[in-house]
Amino acid sequence: MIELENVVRSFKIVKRKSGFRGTLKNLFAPETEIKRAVNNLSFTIPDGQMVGFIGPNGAGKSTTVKMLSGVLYPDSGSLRVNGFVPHRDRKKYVRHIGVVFGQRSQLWQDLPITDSFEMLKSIYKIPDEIYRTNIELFNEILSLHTFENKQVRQLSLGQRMRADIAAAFLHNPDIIFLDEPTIGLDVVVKENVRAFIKSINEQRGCTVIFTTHDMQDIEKVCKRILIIDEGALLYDGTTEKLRDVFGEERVLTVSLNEKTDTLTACGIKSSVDAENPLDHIFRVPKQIKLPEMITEISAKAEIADLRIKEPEIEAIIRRIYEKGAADA
Amino acid sequence: MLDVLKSNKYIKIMRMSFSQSTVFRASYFFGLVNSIISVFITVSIWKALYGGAESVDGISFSATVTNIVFSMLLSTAFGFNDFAIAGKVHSGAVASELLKPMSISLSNMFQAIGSNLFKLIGHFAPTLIISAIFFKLLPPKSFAMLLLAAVSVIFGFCLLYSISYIVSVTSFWITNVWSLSTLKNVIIGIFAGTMLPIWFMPQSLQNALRYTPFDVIYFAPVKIYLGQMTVEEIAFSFGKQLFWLGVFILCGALLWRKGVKKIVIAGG
Ligand SMILES: Nc1ncnc2c1ncn2[C@@H]1O[C@H](COP(=O)(O)OP(=O)(O)O)[C@@H](O)[C@H]1O
Ligand SMILES: [Mg+2]
Repeated sequence: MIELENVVRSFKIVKRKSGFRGTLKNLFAPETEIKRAVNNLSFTIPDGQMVGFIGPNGAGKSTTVKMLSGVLYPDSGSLRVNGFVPHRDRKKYVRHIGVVFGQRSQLWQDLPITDSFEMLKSIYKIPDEIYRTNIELFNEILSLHTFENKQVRQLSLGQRMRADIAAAFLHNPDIIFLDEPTIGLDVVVKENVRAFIKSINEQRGCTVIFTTHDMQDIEKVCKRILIIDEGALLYDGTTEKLRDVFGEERVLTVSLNEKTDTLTACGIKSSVDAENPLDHIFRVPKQIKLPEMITEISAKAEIADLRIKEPEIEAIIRRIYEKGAADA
Repeated sequence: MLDVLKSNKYIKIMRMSFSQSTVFRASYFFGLVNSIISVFITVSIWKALYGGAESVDGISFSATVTNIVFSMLLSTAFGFNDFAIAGKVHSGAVASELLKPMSISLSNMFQAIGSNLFKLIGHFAPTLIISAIFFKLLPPKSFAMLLLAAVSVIFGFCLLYSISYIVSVTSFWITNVWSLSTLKNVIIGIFAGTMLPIWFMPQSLQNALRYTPFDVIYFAPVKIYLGQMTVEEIAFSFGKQLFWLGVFILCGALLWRKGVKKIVIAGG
């Protein structure tokens, strides 16, 4: 169980000025600015849930993940994870979590990954039995054996990320925080990583929070999403509900057997596709039922084929960012 | 017991740091040449100062050379990176240490022990053998005194580490740790007697140093080794080492506890 209540965290940012006078000013009277990275954030996540944490750059996602993983102190508010206060109980608490910062490796740069894993085995006191099963399982999904003897600094980004993700799961943590685990990965590795996270979540019932910019990650992996911007929560709910509430229209494309002028069904006018004059495109608001529409159209013309496009999550989320917290 | 030691996380960290120290061969080799040359130069200076006399102020030439060689070699062998923690905090790498269920201070200490162990074996031992051959160093008074001197060296090492730890933790408040670190090294260099053996310092300064930790870092071990301390004096020097160690560890821990709140992990 993860509980955040009115969590606030600010950073002091020194504004550096350029030029001679600017440099003098930096030296004697630096101008500082307080940036609220996380602003009164509250949410609760029950055990075993898989949550996507999204928001534009600088929204405060990483700051939140750092506080949740106990490496950053909040200014105020309360954080509780499985009964621990992360920053206060750090040494005891981190045993129960696994963390991946996509932008930074947790592994020892100069060690081959097998040695890094051995090191983690000692640090977390992982029993031989569990260690062996985990390594085998991770190997299967993430194909670590293809590069297990290379030093971490010699790995490609995709390899490093796979090693880092495996490392975070090695001690069977109850909760996993993944900060942009798919950043910069190619399509195949991304798929691998998603499959891995999903299967571990299903098998072990661990709670997973992950931040991403990739909408595919969200659609394929998460049931619930939290959207934040400017450090505050904009949306908390399922992906389907997001579509229902914010996805204003679906796009229905009907291919007819003969060319016709614009059609009207349920009060919606079609537009004829310029490239493909047999295709009629309807933008259907969510309150209109599609079967009714299709019946009406088929009464007017002979339908050869039809396609329905659900609103894209990406477009919906963009709209939420634009509207901001007030309307959401 | 051995198994426990082998799988202990801090021992592993120490071993990793030890083996990482072996990587830089060129710098290792030049370091070795450098300290042999410094020993030769310093001993020549003392030879000139003694001007052929058997002893000065009741201190024999060979005792002085033994003292100088030991403290010089130990002080080059025991080196700590006062910027290690500052660097990790600045780059954000401290995050990966904070995410592991271990004490950052202990893991840093065992990293330092690992690299210093390497220097002790790879640096101190060979330069000592070379110096012993060329400068007729005095043998230990007895085997027991050698062992006690070794214990005293270990405590001295811990003292140096705990001082270095305090300096490195000040990086949470002070951006320029470099000047503090240099100041610390100069002060220790003078008062611990690596440049001028404490015997030759003015009596008032020698008395004052009795209340400081400086004379039990390099000087006490050498005096024990040479058999110049009574059993009571040896016991007193151990007590003093432990007392100051307690003080420094406490200060370091308090500073760390205050400072860790200020860590902002950059990046992400
Ligand atoms: N260590 C820091 N020092 C100063 N400002 C920071 C620091 N970390 C984050 N910030 C600022 O806080 C805001 C949120 O950052 P972050 O949590 O990294 O966003 P996200 O991960 O959502 O992109 C940004 O405006 C960023 O510039
Ligand atoms: Mg981020």
